[in-house]
Amino acid sequence: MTTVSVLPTATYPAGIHNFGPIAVPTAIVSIEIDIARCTTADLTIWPNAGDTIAMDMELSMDGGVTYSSLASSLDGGGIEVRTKTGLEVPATIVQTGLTAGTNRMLKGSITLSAAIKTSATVTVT
Amino acid sequence: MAIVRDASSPTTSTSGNLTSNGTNSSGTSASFTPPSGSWITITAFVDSTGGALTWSPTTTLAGVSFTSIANQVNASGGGAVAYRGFVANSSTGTISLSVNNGGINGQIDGAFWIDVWTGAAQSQTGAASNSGTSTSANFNGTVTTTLTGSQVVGIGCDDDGSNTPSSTDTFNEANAGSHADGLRAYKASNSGAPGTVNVNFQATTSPVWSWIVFEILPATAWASIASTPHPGRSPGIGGARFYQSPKALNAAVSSNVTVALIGQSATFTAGTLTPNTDTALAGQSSTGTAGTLLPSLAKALSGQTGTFTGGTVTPASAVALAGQTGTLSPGTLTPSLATALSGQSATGSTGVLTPNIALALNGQTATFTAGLLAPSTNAALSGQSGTFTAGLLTPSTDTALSGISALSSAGTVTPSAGGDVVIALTGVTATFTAGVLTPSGADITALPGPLDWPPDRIADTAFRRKKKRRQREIEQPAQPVDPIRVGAIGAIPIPPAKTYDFRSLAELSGKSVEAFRAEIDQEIARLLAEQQERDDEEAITLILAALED
Repeated sequence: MTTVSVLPTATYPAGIHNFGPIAVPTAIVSIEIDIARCTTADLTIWPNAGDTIAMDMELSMDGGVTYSSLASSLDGGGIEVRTKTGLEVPATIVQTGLTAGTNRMLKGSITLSAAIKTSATVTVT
Repeated sequence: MAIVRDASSPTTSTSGNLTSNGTNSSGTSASFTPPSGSWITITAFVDSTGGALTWSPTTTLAGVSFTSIANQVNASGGGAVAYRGFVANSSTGTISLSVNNGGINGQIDGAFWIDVWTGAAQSQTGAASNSGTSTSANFNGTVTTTLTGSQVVGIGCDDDGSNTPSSTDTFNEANAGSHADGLRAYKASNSGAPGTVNVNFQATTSPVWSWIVFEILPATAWASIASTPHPGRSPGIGGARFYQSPKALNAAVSSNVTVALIGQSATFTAGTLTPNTDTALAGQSSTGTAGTLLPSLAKALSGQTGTFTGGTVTPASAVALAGQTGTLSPGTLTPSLATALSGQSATGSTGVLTPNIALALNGQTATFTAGLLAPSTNAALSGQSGTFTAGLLTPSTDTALSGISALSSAGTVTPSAGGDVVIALTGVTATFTAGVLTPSGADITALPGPLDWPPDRIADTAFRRKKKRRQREIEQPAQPVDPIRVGAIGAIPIPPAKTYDFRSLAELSGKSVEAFRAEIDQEIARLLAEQQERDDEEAITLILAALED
């Protein structure tokens, strides 16, 4: 498992922030993107429920010639507490499997509805 | 053929059907009967206190076994699973699913759905799937389909449990416990060309998803397979090919329906055959169900088009039934060609025969019912047209009944043709009722006189005649004596224009004509002897008065 920071912690302006393309080694079978959420530890990160972050990942099986959607999400900010554990949720996570292949490329985008302080990492397994 | 969720899919509890506080949880579906050739998918989720999840589907359906599509768990104990199983032959049964968490005692709650899909390929080899986890409140799990017309299904488990999962796709949701919510979703319509298909998963707050999205391959896979580069062929239309023969390829793909029945595409279910090309069934296109065959080409049934159901045959071409078109049902025959029934076209039902061409019944057209005969041409009944009912005869031509046209009923004869009156009943037109004859023509005087007047009428008339005669005698002078009449009664002169109806008088007196006449002759002789001195006319008057009184 390898985790790569694609968006360091910072306040990003509203709009689309792309990342990749990234070559995906043959052994990688899944990918996960984590976007930092608001917690009591740092109330400045994505604090407003009305501010949304949309995430989309696309995978290419032909070395980046064509891409298909891999996963996408849309969430609002603010502190969320997990019912099951009573713990705050530190990140919005989307994890998905990857179709096996030898010439795979990954790219994605993060779209902010407003200026939001957050960070993003990509983890591959 | 589109992939459709079949109505035989059993209803699944929305409150969850996998509930346990141990290390194992299981549930059983309602009994159902999937059709032959269908696919069954099992999608399930469970929230566990931890440990690896081991799923075990079993069924009482004959010949059905299940293959895992995907199994997804997350770090907090939530898991989802998907299985599929092919139904070669329809049967009725249930499906049970159990899940074990590896021995960690605690909550293990979830739910599962059983879906039956028709229109899917018999072989699902190569069908795509994808799975993952997420904490997003609104995300799309994605699968890249491999064939045109595939169906895409998804299962999601939110093991945080405070949400009510939903989807923008067709879905069913279940809340199986405090931390076990989930949903099964599928696309409302089949996918188009191969490519990315998303299944949407939503929850209200801080979900923790485990999700699976998978493809179901369609039955009509020929075009898509043909357009998909074979592993042995380089990309592009002109790519070189190095793979096995087409026959071998056909055997491997899921399009074997296309080559069924010698090149026919068809749909088969229990008791139903629906070939759809002309070469099916010895050249026929047809729709068949149990007990019903509907060939639609002229070659069917020795060249007939027709509709056949149990007990009913409806050939539609002229060569059916020895050249007849007709409708046949039990007890009824309706041939429609002139050569039917020895050359007749007719409508027949039990007890009724209606031939309608001239050759029927010795050349007659007629309608026959029990007790009723209605020939309609002059040659019927020795040349008569007429209507006959029980006890009633109505000939309509002059030659009927020895030349008389008449309306007859029991006890009644009413000749009506003027040209025959001279012949009938000595030239008199008359109306007859039982025991009564009423002549009505100009020749009424040819008969002796009315015999049917009531006595009171006769009496009144006689009285009126007597008074009128007396008045005329007073006002008019005496007439000359008719020598012939005088001769007939001796010396008494008789008015020449008078004619007396002895028959009526005799009837009034209650005597025979002969007796009455003899009595009158005696009375006249006696009166003549006594009144020789009286005036002739006065004597006659007395005689008449005596006679009429």
